[in-house]
Amino acid sequence: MQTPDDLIHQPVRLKIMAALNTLASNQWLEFVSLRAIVDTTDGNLGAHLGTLEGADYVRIKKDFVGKKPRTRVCLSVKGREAFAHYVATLHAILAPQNIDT
Amino acid sequence: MSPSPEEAAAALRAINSVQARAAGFQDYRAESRQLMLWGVVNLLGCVFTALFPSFLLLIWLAVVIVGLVAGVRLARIAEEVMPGIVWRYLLVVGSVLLFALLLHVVMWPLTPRQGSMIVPLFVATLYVIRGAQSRPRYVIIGAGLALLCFCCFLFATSHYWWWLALAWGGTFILSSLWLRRT
Repeated sequence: MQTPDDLIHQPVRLKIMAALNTLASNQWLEFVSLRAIVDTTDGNLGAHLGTLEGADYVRIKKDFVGKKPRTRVCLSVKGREAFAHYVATLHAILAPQNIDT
Repeated sequence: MSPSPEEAAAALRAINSVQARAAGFQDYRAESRQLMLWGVVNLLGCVFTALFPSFLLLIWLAVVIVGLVAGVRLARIAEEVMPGIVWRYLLVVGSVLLFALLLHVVMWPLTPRQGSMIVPLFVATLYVIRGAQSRPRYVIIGAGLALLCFCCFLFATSHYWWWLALAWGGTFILSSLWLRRT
């Protein structure tokens, strides 16, 4: 029985991981940009990022550009591997169906 | 508990959708920087032409070189996300310039007013084609640019270059700001 990573399987976290996975390794995406891509609220995104950061799937960096605060997010190596495994699991779940059809 | 095949398929569709959205976002961001650059460059070119019409050729030569150098620098920023973008960028800008040059040769003699329409109308067409193939905002940018520049050509009897500065440079600058609001 194939079971995908529950942490990633949640819809908003899935979108976050999918968006960050499009970036090159060690490339950061600004919080506001990620919010626009994932299409959610600041609070919701912040909460899910906290969960992913707790699992070491994402790294979060806070700094200032001039006097303006900036938050950036990046997929960690562990997160990238977990996402690849998650996608592989989904394909594995679909595989028997593909054989039937 | 393992998700059903339907749920797995839905999750994969969601991933594809977000990845397409993220790619579009990055594309709009990269294009936004180029539009701002060429908007300012074209605006300055038109303004200097309005002020010193007898130096038209020199002005546009200088303006295009400055724009090209700055454009390559900007394209290099996006190179990490979009490998090979610098060469594709040079190919596109080179093609536009070559098209303008060849059309001048074919249609010669052209008045400066006629010649000024070649690049914006060609670029507008490229944007519409690009938009039809991938990202809808480019259709609006291309159509807007063509419409405003053509109206300028038809109706701006006096202060032509000032109006063109607004129609061409202004459209690019506003489009750049619009693409940033993704």
